[in-house]
Amino acid sequence: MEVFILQSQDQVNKFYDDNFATMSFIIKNAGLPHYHLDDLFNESLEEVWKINNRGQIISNLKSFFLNHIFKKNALNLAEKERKRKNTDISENLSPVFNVGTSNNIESKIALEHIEHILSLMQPTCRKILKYYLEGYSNEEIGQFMNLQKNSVASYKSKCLDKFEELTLIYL
Amino acid sequence: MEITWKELLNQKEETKFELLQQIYKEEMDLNKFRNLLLKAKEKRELIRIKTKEFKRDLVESNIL
Repeated sequence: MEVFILQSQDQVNKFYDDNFATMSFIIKNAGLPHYHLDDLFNESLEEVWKINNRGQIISNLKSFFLNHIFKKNALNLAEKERKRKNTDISENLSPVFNVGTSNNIESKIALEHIEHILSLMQPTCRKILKYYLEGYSNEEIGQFMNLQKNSVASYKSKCLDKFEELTLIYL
Repeated sequence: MEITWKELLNQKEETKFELLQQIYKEEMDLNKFRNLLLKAKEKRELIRIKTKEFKRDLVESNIL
């Protein structure tokens, strides 16, 4: 995986300034108000970061960002705005009641889910699993927590079982 | 990597938690980048406000 080229606030803002005119042009052509520019910029750059993180080589960041991601997101947002405006008023008058159908087990794994499950665990398990998820070895975790390497392995195994159990119950 | 909890829980025992570890690390990195973008946005907003104030001061002091 390549290290993402924009690593500091100043680099991000220089990239913003360098592309400001083109982004403004895209926003205007999509029929969106200018105040969407900053949020679209952040959303699009986050998407590029994810693509880079997956190992896809981006040879020309500026062109890829503007022509593929920013333009696509601007057009999608414009389409959403149009649909929102065209929504029949009668739909708003008859509320739809959602009967608990959402099932988080089908949702993509997000950091807040993991943090939520960890927060439900006993402090020792929480600490061990947090170190484990951050990539520390049993030996290192043992040093942080004043535990033998073997005890960490045993704790970790039990804690991971508990983690799975809680995932199924509380997710 | 984007997978659902269901897909993760259906993995073999030995790969399940390695995957979770990988996802956690990626999510943490993404969170850091998201925070960087938000801080950069705040900085841009601050510069805009300062520029406006500077222009207003120039107008008020009859320089422009």
